[in-house]
Amino acid sequence: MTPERFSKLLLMSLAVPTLLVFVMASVVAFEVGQLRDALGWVDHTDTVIAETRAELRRIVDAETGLRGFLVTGREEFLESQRESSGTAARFAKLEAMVADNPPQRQRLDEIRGKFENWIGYSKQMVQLREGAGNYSDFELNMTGKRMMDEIRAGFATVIDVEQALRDTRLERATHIDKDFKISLAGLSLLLATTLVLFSRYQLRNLALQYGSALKTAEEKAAEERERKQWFLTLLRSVGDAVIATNANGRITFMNPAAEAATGWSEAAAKQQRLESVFRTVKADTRERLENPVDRVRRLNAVAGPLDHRLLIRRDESEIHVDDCGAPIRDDDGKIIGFILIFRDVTRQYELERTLRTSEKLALAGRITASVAHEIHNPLDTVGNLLHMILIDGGSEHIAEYAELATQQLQRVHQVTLSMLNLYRESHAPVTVKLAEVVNSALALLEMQVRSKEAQVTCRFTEGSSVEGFPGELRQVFTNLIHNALDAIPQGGTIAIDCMSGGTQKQVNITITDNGCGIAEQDIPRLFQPLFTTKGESGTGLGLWVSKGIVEKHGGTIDVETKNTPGESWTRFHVVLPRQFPSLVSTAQALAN
Amino acid sequence: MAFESIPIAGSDLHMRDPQQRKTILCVDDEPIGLMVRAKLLEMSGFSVITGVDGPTALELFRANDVDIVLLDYLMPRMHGGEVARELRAIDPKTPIIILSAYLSLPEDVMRLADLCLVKGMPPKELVEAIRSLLPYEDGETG
Repeated sequence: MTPERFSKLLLMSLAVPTLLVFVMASVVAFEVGQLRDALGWVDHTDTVIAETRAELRRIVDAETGLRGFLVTGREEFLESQRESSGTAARFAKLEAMVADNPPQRQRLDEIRGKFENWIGYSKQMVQLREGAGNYSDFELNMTGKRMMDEIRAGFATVIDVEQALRDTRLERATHIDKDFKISLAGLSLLLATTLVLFSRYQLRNLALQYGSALKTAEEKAAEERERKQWFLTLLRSVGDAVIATNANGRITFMNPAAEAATGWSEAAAKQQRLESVFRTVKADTRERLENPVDRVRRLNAVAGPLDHRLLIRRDESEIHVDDCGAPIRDDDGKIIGFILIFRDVTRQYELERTLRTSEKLALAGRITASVAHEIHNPLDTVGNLLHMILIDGGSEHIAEYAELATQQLQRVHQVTLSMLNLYRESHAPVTVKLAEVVNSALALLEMQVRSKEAQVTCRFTEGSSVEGFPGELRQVFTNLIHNALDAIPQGGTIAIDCMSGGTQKQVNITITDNGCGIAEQDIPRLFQPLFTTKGESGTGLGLWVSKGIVEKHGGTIDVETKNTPGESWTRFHVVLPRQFPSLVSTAQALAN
Repeated sequence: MAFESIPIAGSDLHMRDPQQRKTILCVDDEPIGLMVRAKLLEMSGFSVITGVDGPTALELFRANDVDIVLLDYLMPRMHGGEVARELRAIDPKTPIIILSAYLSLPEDVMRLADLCLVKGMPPKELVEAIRSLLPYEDGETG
């Protein structure tokens, strides 16, 4: 459920009751108004009745006063007569009060008329008494009585009508009151029911929404847990060793492969600094190497495999490793840890060493074949000459035979000497004259050169030399020239060029043949071990070993080729620095 | 070096009539070795024709009445095996001996040759091997 939807629901659950209360208040207000109006009318009628009665009483008082005066002749009795002087104004007021009821008004008007007549009669009677007239005349008095009776009757009618009106109005008020109560009760019930039903609906809705949101959240959490578990299992089950550290380089995770490789258990390694668990030295020089995490931190990027490393395990035994480190970043790209992945390559290393030995043996085999040829031929001739000396004893040609045999033995000596030279290997890099190395490689391959009638041209810059291991470099050139000889057709050409400027720090050697070229798909695998294009006759190790030797000397080797029929060629390009790498670093170290 | 002038003397092998001598076609790209081997074989009573490579050898084989062929294996342009194949195509019966500096040769080459020999063996054994492959020796007494 989205927050918007939640707000809408909340608003609705407030709005509906508010609306209902508003409707109810309106109804109540209307009803109260009605009731007030009705009661107002009752009050009004009560006032009218009271005023009317008061007026009647004043009129009766006036009559009583008149009688008292007539009997006693005393002025005090006429007090009430004088008091009724405001009668006209009071009648006007009464008439105004019943203005809504024309018959009543008519009646009051008539009463006023009659009272005004009685006032006239009263004045006449007062004059009669004061003037000693016959004020006690029966007829006269009866007239007065009749007048007053009519007034009384008039008032009675007005009061009766008002009384009836009052009853009707009271009844109406009572009715309205009852209706009000009923409608209030009804409305309250309706409101309550609506509220209950609506709230129930809303609550249920809300609960459902909430429930589904909760369920989704729970599912997501479960999914996340499962994913985490999955990744963890994945990390635990990969064959490569994985170590994770926090941003400070302290170990937070180690998989079983890492435990096996380092000899540390995860529990023991946790919170240790990476360099105490992953202790590495350079395989050849045994100098301590930069911790991969520091390297990643310094480069701020994934750091690929470094130099050949030896990992010193917890029990001080050693294994060969290949490692790679990477930073772990949060969503903002901040480094929150590091991951180190490495692999025990001891077996691979041993295998490579075996392969290198195999290549050496294969080379030795090839050399042996050469040697066999180079030695057997002159030996055969010497044998034949000796036999001839034996059977041709005393001939003048014997000296000639012996001379020939000596020459042939000299050739054998030359061959063995160059072979020994080839295999004499120094333990430290020495100055190697490239021309000598290439020439000795060519001498070794003389037989193949002759067999192919190859046109070999060598061009060397005067004094081209590098620091290195002559035997190994000879192996490189023997391999490259041997390959060229295999590739070229009968009578093909091989050009060996060695260029180096006096101040240049490196020497460039190219070996170009006009052979069939190398198929494009073979080029990426050319320097891989056990890859050969020569079928049974190749070991697939020559170029791989050559690359290894060149790289050991700090150089590079690459190939250019064109295999268009008729104009195909291949050129191997070897670049060797004049100084052997470790000597360079030693020299730099000394300079520093 | 003029080996042709070297007389043949003091041997049990040189007394035959030159007309009856068997002709050996001897092929090798090594000129000194070839000359010495030819001289030795002549001293052993054979008539020797020499060639320094495969194509020359085939020409000589066609042009001459050759009784046996002695082939070096490793030669430029055509190796001994290829020459042997061509020779067999011309005349399947003429015996062929392949000489090589190697201890072993490809099997198909070994099948083509009547005999494969390693260079440097005692010359006496070579001569005996040649003789054993020839159908007969006119005037042979031993």
